Amino acid sequence: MQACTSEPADGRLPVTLLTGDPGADTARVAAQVLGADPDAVVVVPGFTPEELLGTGCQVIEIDPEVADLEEGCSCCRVRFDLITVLHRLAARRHRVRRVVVQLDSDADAATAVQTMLGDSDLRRRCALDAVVHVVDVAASLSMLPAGHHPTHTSAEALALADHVVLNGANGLSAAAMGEVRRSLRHRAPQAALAASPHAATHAIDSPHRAWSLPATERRLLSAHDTHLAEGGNSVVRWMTLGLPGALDPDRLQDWIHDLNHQSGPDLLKVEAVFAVDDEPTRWVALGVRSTLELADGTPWKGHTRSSSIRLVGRGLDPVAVRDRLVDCLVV
Amino acid sequence: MTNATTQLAESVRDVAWIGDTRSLAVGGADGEVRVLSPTATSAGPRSDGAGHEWEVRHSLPRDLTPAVSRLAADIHGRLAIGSDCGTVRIVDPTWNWTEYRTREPISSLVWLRTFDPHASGARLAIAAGHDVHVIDAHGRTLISETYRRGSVTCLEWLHPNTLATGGHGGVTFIGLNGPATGPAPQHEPIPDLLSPGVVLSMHLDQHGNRLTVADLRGEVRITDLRTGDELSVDGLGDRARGACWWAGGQLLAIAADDELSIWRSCPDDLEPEPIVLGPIPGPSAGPVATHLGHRLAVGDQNGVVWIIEKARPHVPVPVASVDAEITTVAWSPDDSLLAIGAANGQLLLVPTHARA
Repeated sequence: MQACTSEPADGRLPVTLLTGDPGADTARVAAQVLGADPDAVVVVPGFTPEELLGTGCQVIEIDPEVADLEEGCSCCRVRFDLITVLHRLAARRHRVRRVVVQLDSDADAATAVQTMLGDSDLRRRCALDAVVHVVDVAASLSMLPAGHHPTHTSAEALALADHVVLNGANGLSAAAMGEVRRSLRHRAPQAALAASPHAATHAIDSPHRAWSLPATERRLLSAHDTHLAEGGNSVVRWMTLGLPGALDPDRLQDWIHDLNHQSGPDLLKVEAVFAVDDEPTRWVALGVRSTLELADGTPWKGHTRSSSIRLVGRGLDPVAVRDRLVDCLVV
Repeated sequence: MTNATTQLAESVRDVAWIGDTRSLAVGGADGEVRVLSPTATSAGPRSDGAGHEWEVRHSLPRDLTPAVSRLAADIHGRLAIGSDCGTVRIVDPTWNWTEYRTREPISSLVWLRTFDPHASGARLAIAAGHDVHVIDAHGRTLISETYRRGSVTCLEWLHPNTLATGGHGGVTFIGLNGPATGPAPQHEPIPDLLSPGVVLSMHLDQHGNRLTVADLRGEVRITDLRTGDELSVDGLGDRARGACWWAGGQLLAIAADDELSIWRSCPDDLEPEPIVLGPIPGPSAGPVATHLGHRLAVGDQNGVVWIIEKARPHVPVPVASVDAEITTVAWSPDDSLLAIGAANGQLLLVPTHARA
């Protein structure tokens, strides 16, 4: 396996995916986040929204185009328009410092992420920094506490997000905001909540890529999960699991294979740090749907061995996942 | 490292040899287009290594042209410059130009190869987003159609009245009316070649019989245009970015993201068999065969350019290296020079006749 113990300064073009609830004014957030950065490029679906006109950013309009890599297989889809446009932008690096790709509210965010992670040619040139989701707090307030979400696609985008921007929160009472935050925490505990686009800017400008193996390892090691936890809503569920002990490598590979093949289309995100028997380093995994990257992490150096996993997906059965993984433990 | 003949500010996107002369156009991601030609037989910093000094004869400044996406030159000295902003500029040998506008970035530009010296015989096929255009040398529209299944990535003239368009969902054939400047079609109209993936490149063998289509899923399909028979080449691990018939149609080179492979086939046979798998990891430019088909050039992601001889397909020979990914390679009309463009903006000219 390839080692992932450090985050290389690899010169790849950083890309942020920007998703949003319907009516969440995602374009305005993009304009506010990027300011007047002439070296920033915003890729928008369809026509350039008014909010981005005159901002000083470069705007590229695209027609979303989904292609199947396997006929009829929903987990083998890629966004061909992203491959094309990001390839072009990566070729002219001197005028492009970063790229924000705005997705339609009905776009499948997981397919966009899978394109960034799964297309080897694109990965050599571009790196997925973060997924930012914009929630229109005022408009969604009535739905949020009940656990509903405007659409299935935006519920999935929220579950994938590294940062959530609470837009339109002006004038809300502290109690209402607290309720919204609690609701979002329950459905997207992994995401950093930003009360304004400017707060999100700092998070997005962080030198650490959220979608990298070192960042995955840091996140899971700092979570200190020691038990099974789960949450979400009727559309998307998440689970975290801490599992003390060492895993048998062959049985673990079978578990990963079964997870990919049985649940691949429904898996939105897989993050894991595995403690594998007789391995001097942690194994770190990051993936979306059936695209999964697995590499060596940091050395154990005498630490007590324990695995941590976090899954997000549709129709997850956390207990079954845990039981199957427990079967991989070396007795 | 090999010395650069010229240096652009950003990545070299494409090169094109103009007409049957030794003039070379190079276009960059910064929008600059330069035309170079040899001046005298003296060695210098811009020498091609065979004793010829090259200098920039013409230059389109960056503020006139958006990022160059494609270059194409016909045998009468006309240069077509496609841009990421959807414009196509046709520059004639006296450096006058006419402009044609489309709505999307130009993904492919292909001149119909015709020996009619008059402009009326010229046909330039343009792929831009979901649209296919065919224009004449004056920028007049002959055809403008929308490809129904998605974006168009590549074009290939099968003969003067049939254009193959490859893209999302497979290959579609477009028939053209009007004055035919070449032989009439020899086969029945070809049904679309449907594919669930996205076609990235097409290549017609020199006999015009076999159309080879490479796609995003790593599949390469060979279609016999005379019979409609079709065959898939399996065993490619990653996306297939290009394929090229060479050695008189006996050898087929396939560039996937992870490796180059070479297959042997009889010119009349569809079924190729692998003879060399993986001699070059990570091909990024080419494969491109010489006009006589004796040699093949391939550039890789590590900045090395390789030449493979027909007689020794197992032994790729490195001929140049730079410290950036190779973006394009093109043989001169007499096959004596190889133009090499790189992601760091370098353009190299390497003589290859001594290596035959």
